[in-house]
Amino acid sequence: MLRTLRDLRRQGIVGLNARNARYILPSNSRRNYPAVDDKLRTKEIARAAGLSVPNLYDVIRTNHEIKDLSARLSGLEDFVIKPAQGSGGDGILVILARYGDRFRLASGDIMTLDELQYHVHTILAGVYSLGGQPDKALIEYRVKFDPLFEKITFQGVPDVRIIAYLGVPAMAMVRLPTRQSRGRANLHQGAIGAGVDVGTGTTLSAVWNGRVVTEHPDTGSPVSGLTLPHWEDMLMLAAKSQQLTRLCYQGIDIVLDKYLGPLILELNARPGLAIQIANQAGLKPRFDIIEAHAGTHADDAGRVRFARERFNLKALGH
Amino acid sequence: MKNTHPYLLAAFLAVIGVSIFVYKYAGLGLPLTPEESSQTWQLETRIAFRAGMGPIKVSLQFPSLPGRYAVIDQNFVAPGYGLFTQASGANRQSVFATRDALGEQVLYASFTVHRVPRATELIPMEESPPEEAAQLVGAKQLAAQTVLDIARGRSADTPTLVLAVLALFREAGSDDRVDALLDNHNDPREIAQAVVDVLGLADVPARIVNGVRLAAGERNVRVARWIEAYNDGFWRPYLLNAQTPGLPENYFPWWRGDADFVESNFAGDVETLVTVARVTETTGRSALVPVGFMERSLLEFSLFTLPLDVQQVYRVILMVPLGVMILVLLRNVVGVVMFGTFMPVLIAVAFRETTLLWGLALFTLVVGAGLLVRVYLEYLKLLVVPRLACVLIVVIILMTALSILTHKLGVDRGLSVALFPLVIITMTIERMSIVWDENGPGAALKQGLGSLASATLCYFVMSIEYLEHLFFVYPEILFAMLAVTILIGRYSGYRVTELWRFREFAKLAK
Repeated sequence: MLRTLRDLRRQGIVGLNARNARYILPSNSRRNYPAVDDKLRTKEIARAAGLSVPNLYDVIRTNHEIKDLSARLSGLEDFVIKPAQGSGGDGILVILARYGDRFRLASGDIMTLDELQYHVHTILAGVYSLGGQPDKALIEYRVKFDPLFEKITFQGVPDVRIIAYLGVPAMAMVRLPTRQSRGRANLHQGAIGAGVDVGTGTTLSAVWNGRVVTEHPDTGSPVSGLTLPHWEDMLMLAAKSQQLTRLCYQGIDIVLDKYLGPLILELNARPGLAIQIANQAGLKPRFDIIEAHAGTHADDAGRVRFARERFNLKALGH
Repeated sequence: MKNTHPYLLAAFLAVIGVSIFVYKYAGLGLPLTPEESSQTWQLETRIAFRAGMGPIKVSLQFPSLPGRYAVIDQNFVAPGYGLFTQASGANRQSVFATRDALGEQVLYASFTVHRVPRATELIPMEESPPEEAAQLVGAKQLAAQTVLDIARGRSADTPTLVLAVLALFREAGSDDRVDALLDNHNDPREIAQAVVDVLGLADVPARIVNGVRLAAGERNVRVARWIEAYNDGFWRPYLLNAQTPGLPENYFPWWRGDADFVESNFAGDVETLVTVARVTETTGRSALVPVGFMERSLLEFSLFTLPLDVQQVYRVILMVPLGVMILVLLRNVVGVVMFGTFMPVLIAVAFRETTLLWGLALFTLVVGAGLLVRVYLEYLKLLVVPRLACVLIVVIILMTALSILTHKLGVDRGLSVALFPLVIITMTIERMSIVWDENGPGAALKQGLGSLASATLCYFVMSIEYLEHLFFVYPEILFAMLAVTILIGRYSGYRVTELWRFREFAKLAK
């Protein structure tokens, strides 16, 4: 056990205590949290800053508004309903098609209008929100993900998680839903996480349930060695979002749309540490490099250039 | 990390805590360990009632013939009351009286008793007590005579006769001859009275003794009954379930006869609560060395100045910070996942009353049944707050049913299910079912087991008698604990479970 401890320390693995005590508490001020905890606010400030987000169709704030849900959805063939303050992908419904008062979900199930209205009720009651406060339901554009991911995802929407420290993208991974994760992109729910080389945008090794894998368990297609399109744009989104939220340590979840390119899905003030497992590398050495060069970058583009130079496989000495 | 403020604060608190501790130990000589050998006990009675108009007179039995024990101190707290003593048969009573009391009244009477070395439980009496007229008439007299005849046939002298009668009364409930003498064959007071009546028929003077069993830290002590029979110049005690004459050392005889413990001159209810505690030598050496102002105020500002029943509560409360600190260690250093921030400590406190195994069984039963109901409620599609309220009501129904069921089965431990914190159980059920839905049964069971294991650990540590004593005599340890907790709050190393979580990296290093 002491050996493991020494090995982890040598590789600079950041544990939960270190994440909270060294990075989150000193540099993420509490008053900046609402901007990331409420997806509606994230969307508003991101749009104001000119960053791409999935288009918002409607917001349902009161139980009273649920009565005209059918009218509000008229003209929408496919869309997503999600709680504004949800976490871990809970409470999100992806609707692929509408037949009158029936809706076809991404899972293949059919939902009636009544059931959909009840779901919105539970969202408003705060079942999915942090701490159970009353919430809002967002109706937004359904992302049509890039064909690159077609063979390595099972239902759901794959996304790219980038962790940025002091505005510099430090580490990235692709999260691929599996049958076990029931379409959700969280590693602890059974999604695959594949590390991404920050320098090139190429996927590295992948982990699934804590084990290293090379193929998607449901489709059998390889998950390593794929190059993500629009990689520079994604890194720019990550670098810019720090000025939006003033959070020095944050996770940026980006989806890659077939037509619209990279879109910010949500921001996270307490991103998890599984990204280190997916990348088979610790965060601390990279944070140390970023801290040592803090304040030397001219602009967002400079920070992205710095990240691509320093955090690619060659520079890191793998 | 470079912020030294928390470390300075922790050091400051630790210094305060440790220095008061050292001073009280070395300077005042307070004991570090609970003194098992201490033979001094404090018996405190709290009498509460509602006074109406008119004069009030409340009398309390005074321990006048305490056998092996001697009353070395007595203390009454009854502001506005006159206090005097009156004789009543074989007993003495302390009487509280006043003309103008209105509303809630609380009186305290406290006796400090000391076990006298080499004293026996026999109470000498030179002349034999006066013969009393037979109490029994009619059918009861006949039944008593039958019982006496059987007992006589099985005995040789007075002590064996008493034991033979007691043996017959142990059959109460299944022996008609004995049952004819009793209205309720479970009431020790009535059994004692019947035994005394039967012995009276045989011209053996006997009387009921009412007393308490001395055990450390007992709140709401129940009055125990036994009898004394006169023979050859001595009153000799017999327990109701005795095989031999005599009284165990920890039985303290309080008063004789069938009089009530507390009597009053008005109709309303009088609540009495007897608390027993072993007296710690709190005064320490201060009785011998000259006591300065500082020392006296330290001693006077101690928990020992509180009423006994409040002291017992604080003995438990002072252990809570210890449990909380264990939780902090388990969460932030070991990395155990559990429900609710402090839920396991509250459960551990409840375990103290229910005992561990019963506590675990009852808790699992209530939470398990609650989960089933919660699954059903899920189908009804209720809004959040009403749903939580439903779960809470169901939890109360379950607890009530469990209490009644276990009581009917004769397992009185089941009654203690009522001590579990209701709201905590409700929230546990709610959280557990949400985790179950979102992350699967594995995660829910893992967190549930984590919570129970933590509660068990807290229970074991919190019930170490030595620590309980230490925290009670030296509550300033709390300052030092606060310091330790602040330090853990700045711990940024790995959690033990993370060594497992990131185990792949260790392989990578090779």
